[in-house]
Amino acid sequence: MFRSTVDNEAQIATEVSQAITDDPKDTTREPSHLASAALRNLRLLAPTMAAIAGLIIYAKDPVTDILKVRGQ
Amino acid sequence: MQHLLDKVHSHLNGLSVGPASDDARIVLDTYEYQGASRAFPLLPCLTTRALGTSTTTDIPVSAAYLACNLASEILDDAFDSTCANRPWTRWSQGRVAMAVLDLIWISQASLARLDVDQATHQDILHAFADTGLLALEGQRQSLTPIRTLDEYWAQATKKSGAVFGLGVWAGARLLTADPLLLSSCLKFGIRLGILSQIADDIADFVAGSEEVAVRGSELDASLPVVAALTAQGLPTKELAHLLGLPSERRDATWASALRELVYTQGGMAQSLVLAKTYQDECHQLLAKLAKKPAPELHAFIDSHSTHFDIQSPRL
Repeated sequence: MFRSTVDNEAQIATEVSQAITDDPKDTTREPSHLASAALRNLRLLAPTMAAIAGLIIYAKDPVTDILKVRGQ
Repeated sequence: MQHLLDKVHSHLNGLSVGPASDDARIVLDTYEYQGASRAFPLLPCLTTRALGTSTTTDIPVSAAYLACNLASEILDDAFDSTCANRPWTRWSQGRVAMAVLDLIWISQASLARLDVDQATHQDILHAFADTGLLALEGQRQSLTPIRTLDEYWAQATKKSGAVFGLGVWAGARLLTADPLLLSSCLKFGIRLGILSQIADDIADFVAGSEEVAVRGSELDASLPVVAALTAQGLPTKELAHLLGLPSERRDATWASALRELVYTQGGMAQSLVLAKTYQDECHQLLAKLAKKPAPELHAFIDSHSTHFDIQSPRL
């Protein structure tokens, strides 16, 4: 049971990842609830991401100044 | 939660397994899980409590789980050389290997003395062995270059997902043989492990330049890098160039350039989205499974997003 469940979860994680990239493997399949949730989160986080990416490109701020790692 | 951890340590100290090596004792006495991460070695105990039944047998199972996880932790420390304040980072490879074997056999001794029915005992022994082999398979896969999401998730679910899955499943198996409930518990544990792996990769990715430069090969296989490669279909010339540089040419400048490139190509954004998605999913699965409030497990889920935090851009 362990191996088959782990392998199945690896496939689901790949599908979820591909749902938020430009390269979905199978566009004919209905996205799983996890993939749909990831797409919703992608839309929610997109404005913040774009702002930070723009800052890196144009202001050349070090990434670590923007993304603070707590507890390190 | 500390009282549970104390019980687990007390159980390990009380095992009549002959003279465990001083080195295994040093590891057991000095390794500290911080804050909410103390829930990790206690997953079997916390699961039985969340499922609403108290049993004394969850302490020996958690003890076995803790000893196995410590064996893995000291191997990570010894090979990554990132936690110089821990004594085993200064041990020889042979000494580390002996301590690892000690911990694994201590784990087996704890399981061997488990006072449960034969079918439960057999299932739990099989699960520990199967998970150990799966985790090793994942570690072996991560030694080769990882360039696709398929490859990334194949190794990440074995390295982290299976291990967390075991902790939750083993706790549940002490209470039930119901295949549906056990399957749900395993799925929750695996997804918790996936969340942990995503969070670790993000934290590695934004860590200080010197540390990342030292661990450059690990950075290559991190989720933000693999996601950036995939988002572009084919790696851009600049990204391929940076990833192709040998270790002696990887310094803080290299790490900084790689981070900026991966970030602007969307690898970081996708990783953060995945972290948020799995965090929400774990809370939902736990809420469905738990028959009693499980604040420690919910806090453990949330602790993974405190490894990183998106600050408002300074304009």
